[in-house]
Amino acid sequence: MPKTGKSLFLLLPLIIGAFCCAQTPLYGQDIRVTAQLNETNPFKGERVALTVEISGDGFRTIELPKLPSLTGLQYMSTSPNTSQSFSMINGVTSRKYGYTYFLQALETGEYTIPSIKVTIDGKEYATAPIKVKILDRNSAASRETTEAMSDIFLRIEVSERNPYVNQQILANVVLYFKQTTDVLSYQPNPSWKAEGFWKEDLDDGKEARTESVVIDGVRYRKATLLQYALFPSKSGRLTISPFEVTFNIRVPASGNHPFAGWGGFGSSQRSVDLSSDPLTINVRELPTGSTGASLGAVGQFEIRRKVAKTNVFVGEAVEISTDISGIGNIALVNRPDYAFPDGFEVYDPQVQTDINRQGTRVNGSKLIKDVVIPRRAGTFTIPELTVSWYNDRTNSWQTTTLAAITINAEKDPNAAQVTTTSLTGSKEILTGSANWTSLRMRRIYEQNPMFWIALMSPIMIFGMGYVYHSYTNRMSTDIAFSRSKKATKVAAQWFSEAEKQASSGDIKAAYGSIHKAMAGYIGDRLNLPPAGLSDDQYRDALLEGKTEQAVADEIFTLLTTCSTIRYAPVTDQTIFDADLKRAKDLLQNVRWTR
Amino acid sequence: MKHWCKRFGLLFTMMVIWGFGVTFAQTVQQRFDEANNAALQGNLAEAYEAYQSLEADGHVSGKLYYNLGIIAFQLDSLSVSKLYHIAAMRYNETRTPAAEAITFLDTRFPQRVAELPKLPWEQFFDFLLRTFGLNLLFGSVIFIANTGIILYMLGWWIGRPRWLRGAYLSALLYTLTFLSISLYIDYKEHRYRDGVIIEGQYAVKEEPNPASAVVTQAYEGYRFLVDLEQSAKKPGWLYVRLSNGLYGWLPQHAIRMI
Repeated sequence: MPKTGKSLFLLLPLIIGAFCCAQTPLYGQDIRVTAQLNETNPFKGERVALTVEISGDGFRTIELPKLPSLTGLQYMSTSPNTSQSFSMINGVTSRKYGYTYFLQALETGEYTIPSIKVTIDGKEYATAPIKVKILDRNSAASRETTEAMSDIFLRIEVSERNPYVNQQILANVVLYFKQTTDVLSYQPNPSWKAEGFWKEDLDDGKEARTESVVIDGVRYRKATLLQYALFPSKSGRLTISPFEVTFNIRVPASGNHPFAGWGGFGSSQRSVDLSSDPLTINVRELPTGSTGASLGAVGQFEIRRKVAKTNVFVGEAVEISTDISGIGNIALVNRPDYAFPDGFEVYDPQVQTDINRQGTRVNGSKLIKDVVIPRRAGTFTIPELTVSWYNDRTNSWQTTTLAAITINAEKDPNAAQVTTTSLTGSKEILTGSANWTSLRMRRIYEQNPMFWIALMSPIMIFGMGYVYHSYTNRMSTDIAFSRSKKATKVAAQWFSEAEKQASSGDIKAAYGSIHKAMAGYIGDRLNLPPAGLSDDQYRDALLEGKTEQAVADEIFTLLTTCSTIRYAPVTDQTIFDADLKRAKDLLQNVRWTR
Repeated sequence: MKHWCKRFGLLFTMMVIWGFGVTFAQTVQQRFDEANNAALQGNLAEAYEAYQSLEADGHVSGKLYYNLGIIAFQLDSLSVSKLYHIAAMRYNETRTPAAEAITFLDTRFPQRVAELPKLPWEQFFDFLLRTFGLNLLFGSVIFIANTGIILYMLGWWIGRPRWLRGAYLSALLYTLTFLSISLYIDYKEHRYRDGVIIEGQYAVKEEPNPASAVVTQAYEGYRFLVDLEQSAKKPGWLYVRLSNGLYGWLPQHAIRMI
């Protein structure tokens, strides 16, 4: 969780009083002795304050600190300024004594102030050495550069610019400000999203402390405000978006203010919004070479698998616990993929993740509980599994082999028989006749040619109906067409009549019928008047109709025979039959062009 | 004699076809009954195998899928059971119990997804498909179309009284409407398939690319409508629609379809 509204009031004594930086406590019972230098990066010739502080309770006599000899610095006075304070918190009293010596930086270079010994109630205590770096003011950056630098700015500083996917990097939100600026409080923008990263807020349990740094020859105070553990989720160039913080600061008055430099008189307090620059990092893919099933874990881990019971009844739940613990992306570690044997009903695992965000590296544990239920009796084995993770300290893949687990399941003699009903919410299998179908993989018009025939049937029916309708319509309206179409039928009727008449002995009448059949047929087909035409006219009409001359002549001859035979004295049945056949053949051989 | 030979040949052919049909139905039904008996006697693995064998041979029914779902619940996994019950919902004879089973199964999944109700016209199309089936729908279209044509032609001889005009125009309207609906249903049935995530969890991506943005996370038991037409353009990926209306791409191995 981002810290909000955190006050820097505790910093003020350090900033304003300039007592910070190196601080190493020594404990003697409840007595603490520390040495502090107000500036660990002084310029040559600059004066710095060294304070030895004794705090605690229950001591009576304190001797003056025994000052060590110095290199690169010199004491301006061996007589310290002293201070003392007394406090009582929840009934516990505490005293604090301070001895302040002023030193002058003599030569550029890096030096160490040795331990300072203090005798308290006859017992000697020593502070930790303090490192000092004395800078040359003249070799600092140009005046233009120093003027261009802002008085206060924000940065995100990461521990690693080329991490692997899922490897933790530490991202510090760091504030830089000049000595003349007082930071009273700050408010981070809670909407910061580190896209492309899994983010964990870190909390080291300490208040923000400042230290002195020199950037381009300009001395700044530096305070780490917040810390995040970031785990890149994919490879490539990822950009950490700007982090925004609102600060409440106090800045000194300008030089021409009448009270400038008089204990803060004339200084102004205001709110400023600061934003860090975007920061691009290059995320690498994990190297190849994993010999086990990768869990996607990067860090240092221990993995264990165990089963609660190995002898169970059928239908009894078995819990298989997988414990993954260590340092790294514990929240992102995948569940090992176990090959459970057939006959096991596998339920979704319960995952319990415990993450510790104290310190600078995320650590913790993930407990995965797989619940399986054997559904039949037998001996089942969950095979061994080798899992791997990437160790970012040794830069190598590491593996752990999880031993195989054998589970014996037997039927519970006292339990009710396991039925489908009891397990599926009163559902039973369905028996009896079923409506079987085939798995239809093709479209309906692809699987059956009858589909197309059926689809075309309306058109075919319509077509046939139309043809029939046109025919009947023409038959009723077009007399010539109707006579032509009926000609064969009418002729056949007359031929039949002729046969009947001949068989009854009336040969002459039969010839008359043949004449009617032929004349009627020719008249109907050629659309001639139904009566009143001579045999010559029939022959002429045939010839006009492009009937062959021989056929037309023969028909004419037969028609004449039929017309004249009525007047003949004797007729012969045999001749009649021949004439009748001839008449039928002739009509069939006529070419009708109309 | 020739006439009788023709008649006998036709009768013989019909009897052979009918006999094959009856034998086929008896064989499939017998296999199903034997599997049911095995299940009732507690030999679930044997029953499961027999049911799956019927399905593999292309013989399916609502009862088969429903029973597969019941046995899968015990031998396989919740998600496989859900998949079979989804298939059982396509059949009238098992739609209601399969829907109840899915409701029951959904309560057992640790993650669930909101389900949007189907649009009214989609419900109507589903109703037509499940109640009548595609073949009957097409058949009715053909029959009504022919009836309409005959009624229209009748007007050539008897004139066109109002009832006749109404009859053939209604037939025309029915034909056009239900032909379109049938073709749409057929198209939909072949473009989309049901699918379920059988195990694990997957990120539904905006694009068929592992580096693409994540639309949502999908877990075991989530049901999808798989767009086969779109999916065919990207081998190894499936274009899916979640039941909550979101669209995205999933790796092909993530989903089992039915």
